[in-house]
Amino acid sequence: MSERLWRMWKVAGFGWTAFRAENPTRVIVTMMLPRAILQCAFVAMLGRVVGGTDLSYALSGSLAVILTLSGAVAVMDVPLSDKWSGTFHRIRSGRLPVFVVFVLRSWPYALLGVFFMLVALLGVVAVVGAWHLGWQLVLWTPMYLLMSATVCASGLAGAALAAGRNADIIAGNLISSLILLSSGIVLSPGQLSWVEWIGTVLPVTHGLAAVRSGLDGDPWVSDALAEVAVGIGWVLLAGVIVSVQARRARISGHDDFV
Amino acid sequence: MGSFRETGWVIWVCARMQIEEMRGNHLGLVIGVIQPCVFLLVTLGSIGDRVEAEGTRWATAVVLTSLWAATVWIAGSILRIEKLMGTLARSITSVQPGFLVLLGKSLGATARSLVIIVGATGVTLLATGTAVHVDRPAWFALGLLAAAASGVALGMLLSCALLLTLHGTEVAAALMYPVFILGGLMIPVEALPAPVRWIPATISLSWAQRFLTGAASGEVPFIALGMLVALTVLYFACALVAFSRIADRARRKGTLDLV
Repeated sequence: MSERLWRMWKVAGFGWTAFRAENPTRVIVTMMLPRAILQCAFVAMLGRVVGGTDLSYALSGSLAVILTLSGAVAVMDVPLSDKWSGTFHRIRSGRLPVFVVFVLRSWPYALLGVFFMLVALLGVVAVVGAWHLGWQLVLWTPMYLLMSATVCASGLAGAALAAGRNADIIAGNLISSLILLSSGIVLSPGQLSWVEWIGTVLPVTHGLAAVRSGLDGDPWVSDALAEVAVGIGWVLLAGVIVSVQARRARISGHDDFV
Repeated sequence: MGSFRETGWVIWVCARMQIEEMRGNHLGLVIGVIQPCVFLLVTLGSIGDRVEAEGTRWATAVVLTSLWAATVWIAGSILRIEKLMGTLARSITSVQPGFLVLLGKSLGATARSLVIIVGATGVTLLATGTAVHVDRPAWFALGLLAAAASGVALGMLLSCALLLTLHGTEVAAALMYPVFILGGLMIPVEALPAPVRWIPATISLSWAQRFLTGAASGEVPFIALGMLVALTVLYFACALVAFSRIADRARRKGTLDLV
């Protein structure tokens, strides 16, 4: 293993340690997980009530929206914990680029989103008794993992923009709300065109379309590739923002993420 | 009379102080503006042709749902934030009763949140060209005031409860969705599974929704108003008892850390 790979491996390991410190198991199990299940149930019921959508449409969307709990909101801790702890200067003076460090420390949040999704799926399916649909959705877990990763990328971009202004609460919730509104979670295609237009550049939209196409037996690969492209776009955006901030920090000596 | 005036003055000063504290509060912006706008756009966009008949009902549901979120996150966090800032001991041991301080601050938090939520909802309705029709505006306004009073009482009760846990933020987050689902607001009671349909009857905001929807359509459902007022009084009584117990415990143990 090359030295660079060894460093990346170590950073990913520290990412897991930091994640456990920020999110103790007791808090995840007793607080975050029930919230995820309840949010999933609420959005699924809302979809059924207001849109009259079928269970498959409502449930696939509500499972996608809870990915934002970890990917858009909780992942903000990755850069922000360095700001709060005064350790950003150690990161930016290290061998690995700052953004690579942030990305490598974010992987537990992407997995946490999928964990939320699977447990919420089990909970909802157990209540409504739709075991066949539940199994079909389990088979689409890799696509939800992809969506969770793209949501994390948008969360990192939002965190980078918000950290300098202490606006992480707004950034995380704004991303989460925009995904709820524009990514086809509840609204069906063709209902609000301007909302759909926003959704084309947001995480989840294309991945969710792929899941729904797949469930209906239609072609889904192009939607999956579009989700990958959107994810890469958000990674690049986050990378540029963090790189600029790290460069400014090196020049001016401050670590305020501006 | 002097005492009554003094009580009113304490509540007024505390309410103003809370409103000042909330200036620039990002959470207030999320709950007061972003959340109602998104909920309203999602529902109005989904109901399509039914918007003329159901627009008012959904707008009311969105306002009350956001009011509950504000109650949990803002009014419900008053004592927890006082503790974090180190001012809790002063509030409890001050010349004026600590309960009045909490009442005033909860009033300020709820009033400010409700004004912002109603404003954001109104702007969204205007922007989407959605007409809302209220047949009995005076009764509707009275119902909204009663709902606000209920929010104040719930905020005080939650404030006491959330003070007793080290994970107040997580508990608040977990408390939000049960009422979103079971409160009879955006999810109608008829859409709930039969075994849990009795739960909305214990939540004051559910009765507020029934009253406001009735007033908007020309009826005045006095039973709903009566239940809303009765439950609000019950919440106030529970908050008073909870606050007294917390303060007593802190004094007996010689600590105002309150955990």
